Amino acid sequence: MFRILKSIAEAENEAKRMVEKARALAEDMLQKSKEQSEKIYEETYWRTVSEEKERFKEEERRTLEAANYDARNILRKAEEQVKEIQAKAKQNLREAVEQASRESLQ
Amino acid sequence: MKSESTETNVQRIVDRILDDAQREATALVEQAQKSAETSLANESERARQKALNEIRSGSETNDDRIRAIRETVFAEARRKANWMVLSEKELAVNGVLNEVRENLCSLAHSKKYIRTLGRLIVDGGVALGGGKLEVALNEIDSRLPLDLGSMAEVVAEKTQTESELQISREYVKTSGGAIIRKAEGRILVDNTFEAILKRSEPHVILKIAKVLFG
Repeated sequence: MFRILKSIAEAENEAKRMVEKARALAEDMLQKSKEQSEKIYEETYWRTVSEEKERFKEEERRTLEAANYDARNILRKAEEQVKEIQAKAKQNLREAVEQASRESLQ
Repeated sequence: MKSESTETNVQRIVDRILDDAQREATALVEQAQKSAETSLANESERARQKALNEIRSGSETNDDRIRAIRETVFAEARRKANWMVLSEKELAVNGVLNEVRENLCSLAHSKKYIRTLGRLIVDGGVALGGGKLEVALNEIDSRLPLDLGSMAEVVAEKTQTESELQISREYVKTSGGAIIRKAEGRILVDNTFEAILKRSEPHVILKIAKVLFG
């Protein structure tokens, strides 16, 4: 009978040690997480700021690229207009000279 | 036999005590682990939100900057495009004006010139209201056989004022045309080709542009 009680008591002691050990480990984990939280906060904050800055730079770059593309189109159209002007000027030069000469002497 | 059975039962109790403890220990560690992870994840999310809020509060400035980039590029392109088109038009109009000047110079050497010069002198005389008038010409034109008497008659008729025209002894530097002035006084009408062209330039330019570019 004594042996039985002893065995059970030993088992209970062992169980208590296991739970205590686990509790200590759990507390340690929570403590470490508390210690880490400030670092995590800082890291996440600055990483987010940096990512947003990068995102904005990229947006700027894409805007500039798109605007330059549109600007090239504006200039291409202007070049076409210049060619039209040159063609019209060549075609209507005589008439313009005649009319302007007449007009200025009137 | 009874002793074996008792031992087995005791062992079962011991195993159970240890299993229960193991389960409790595992649960404690798992819960702590989960709690730690959740806490770190919450902290990370809090930091991310704070950073995003701060950036978004400045995003109006960012939007302005993006808009400014676009508008600056467009404005520069439009300015350059307008400049290209306008310079080409100006070049074409100036080409015509140069030809007009050359035409006027050639007119001074043509048969029609005496009639044109006569008309310019009469127009000037009429504009001055007739009277005693002086006509200043360039050196070559002053040798032309101009019928100043007939011209004076036309001026007199149009102004209802007795008129007289005489060639000035001073020469004018001009490709053609004449300066007509009152003999007594400073009033004059500059009907040289250069002055005529300069006076008519604003409306002639419009005319040229209309004919050239429609």
